[in-house]
Amino acid sequence: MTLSNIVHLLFDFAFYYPFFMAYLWMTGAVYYFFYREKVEKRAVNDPPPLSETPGVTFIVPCHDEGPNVRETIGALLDQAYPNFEVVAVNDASNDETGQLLDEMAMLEDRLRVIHFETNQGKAMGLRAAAIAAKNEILVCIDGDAILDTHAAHWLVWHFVNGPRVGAVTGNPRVRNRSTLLGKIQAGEFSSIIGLIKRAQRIYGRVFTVSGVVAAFRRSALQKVGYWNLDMVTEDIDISWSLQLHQWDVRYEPNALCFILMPETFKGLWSQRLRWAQGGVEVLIRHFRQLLTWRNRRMWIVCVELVVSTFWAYTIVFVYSVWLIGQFFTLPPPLAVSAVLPGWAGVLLGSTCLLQFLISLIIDSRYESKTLARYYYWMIWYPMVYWSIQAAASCVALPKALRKRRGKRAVWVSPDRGFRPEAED
Amino acid sequence: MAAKEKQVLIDSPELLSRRHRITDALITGLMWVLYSYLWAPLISLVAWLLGFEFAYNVMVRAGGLERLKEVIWFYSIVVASIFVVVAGWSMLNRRRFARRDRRRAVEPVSDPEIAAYFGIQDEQLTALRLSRVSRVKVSDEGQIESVKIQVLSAEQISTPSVGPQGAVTENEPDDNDDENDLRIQVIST
Repeated sequence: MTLSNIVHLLFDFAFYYPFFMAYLWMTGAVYYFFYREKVEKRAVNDPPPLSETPGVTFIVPCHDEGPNVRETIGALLDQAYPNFEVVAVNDASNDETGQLLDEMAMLEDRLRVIHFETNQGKAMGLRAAAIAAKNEILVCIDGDAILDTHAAHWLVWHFVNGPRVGAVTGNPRVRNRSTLLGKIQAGEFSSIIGLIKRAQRIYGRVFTVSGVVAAFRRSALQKVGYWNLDMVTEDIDISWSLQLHQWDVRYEPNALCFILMPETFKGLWSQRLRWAQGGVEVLIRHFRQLLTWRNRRMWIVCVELVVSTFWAYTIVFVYSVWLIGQFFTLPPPLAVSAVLPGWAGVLLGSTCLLQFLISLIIDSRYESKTLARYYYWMIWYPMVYWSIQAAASCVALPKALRKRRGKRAVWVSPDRGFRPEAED
Repeated sequence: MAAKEKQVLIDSPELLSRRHRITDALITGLMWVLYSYLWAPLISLVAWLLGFEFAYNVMVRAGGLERLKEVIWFYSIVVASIFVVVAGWSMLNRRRFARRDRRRAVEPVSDPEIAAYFGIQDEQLTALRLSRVSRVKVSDEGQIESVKIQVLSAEQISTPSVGPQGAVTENEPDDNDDENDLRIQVIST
């Protein structure tokens, strides 16, 4: 194979991969929507009846959540579900989080608080709370998230009706939408993340639960050894661990959880880098287990991760060659007249917009029609955002490969966006 | 729409200056213009249909129309195949697994199993379960080393915990405590 052929193949791959994946996600999501969501005809505030209401423990790991923790705990105590307790873990916060939690615990019997003396990381917080929990079903919520009133009921329904359900992830909705980044992410969580989760449920395996809102069966966690302490994304790791032990991991779009996302470029970059690194770390950790025939259903998720990472390098290569070619004369095999070819460009451009449209239509069930307002801002996603994600994947791979096994992952306060003064 | 949504969404344009907002909107508009570059062949097609000469050169003489037919044919097959595979796979799974729990339910994990897994005493586990507020010391390896139970005096309840020799004791409320005073009992491994 000549250099020219290889370059040609790489260019085709850079274009075809997102195109075909978009249709795979759209097809899966539309199928899921008609078979699982539309057929139920239930509103978010009208969950299906439960034959029993097993006890639920909400787990809230917190690190420097002073401005948010009252709202987060308040939303949990406000749940319509009848049988629950809340265990909050203050992970050596530097602000008033610990004091606020103690004050709330004095007033509210259903709240218990664990303080760590030193920063231990989210996974350790979850482990300690899992020990302290009085109930078999654990619903883990980030310390800056707000759970919808009926979310616990929707999550529990899966455990009551599915004995092999090990985890159920909810539907994160971006709260902060004042800035450009906030608006893009509000659209992203609907158009990309929601769509992918639905499609993955059709494959039969999900890449990850959303760490910000996920429910677990404690007996399943016990079988897989709970959350590992050395993974930068404990949510991806636990999702793979459970599924590799044949536990079912589900997605419940009605379990809404409102989350804060970064609204600065630095915050966004750190978050995406961590996510990308986490995926590779998990792949390395579980690779041998993946090779067994018993775990064949995970192969598609694994292949998707590997190919996506390869695509990130490919697209960076394509852009680089094109950019260099604008200033210097390159050898003929590397000469690129345009980054996107004619009709293929029309199709890719249209596909991307079609994907946003479909996801917004599906998601309008869970959010007001105002979601359509974010369509205008979504144009950043294919134009710039993909490049950021691709760059993050390229940087993350060597970081993950170099990382020493066993190195503990601890908290770093994330960027949580802009909020009006009155709410602080 | 969930009622919660109205209360919690933060969409406050006033957080940004007017100039900032206008700049964001304009740059986003520019992104749309750049994106529309992708539709250049489509614009040529429409122009050709409208009878423009330059478009005739692009669409007919340069073979643009032939290429369009090939592209539409190829992508239609690919997209239809994806749909068939996804829908077929889902239907196959529904037929095989829907409403059939072939696997047994697992019993809830017991407290001694949890204590054994985490390498803590049963009494420590009990204390963690019953305390309203506790302070936990964890080693660098992630092992729980000690649990300190804080009894909020406002609770006025007794909390079973573990004494230095591992004996279970009870914390009695102390009349002399101020409302915010804490009594702390250390349970070490």
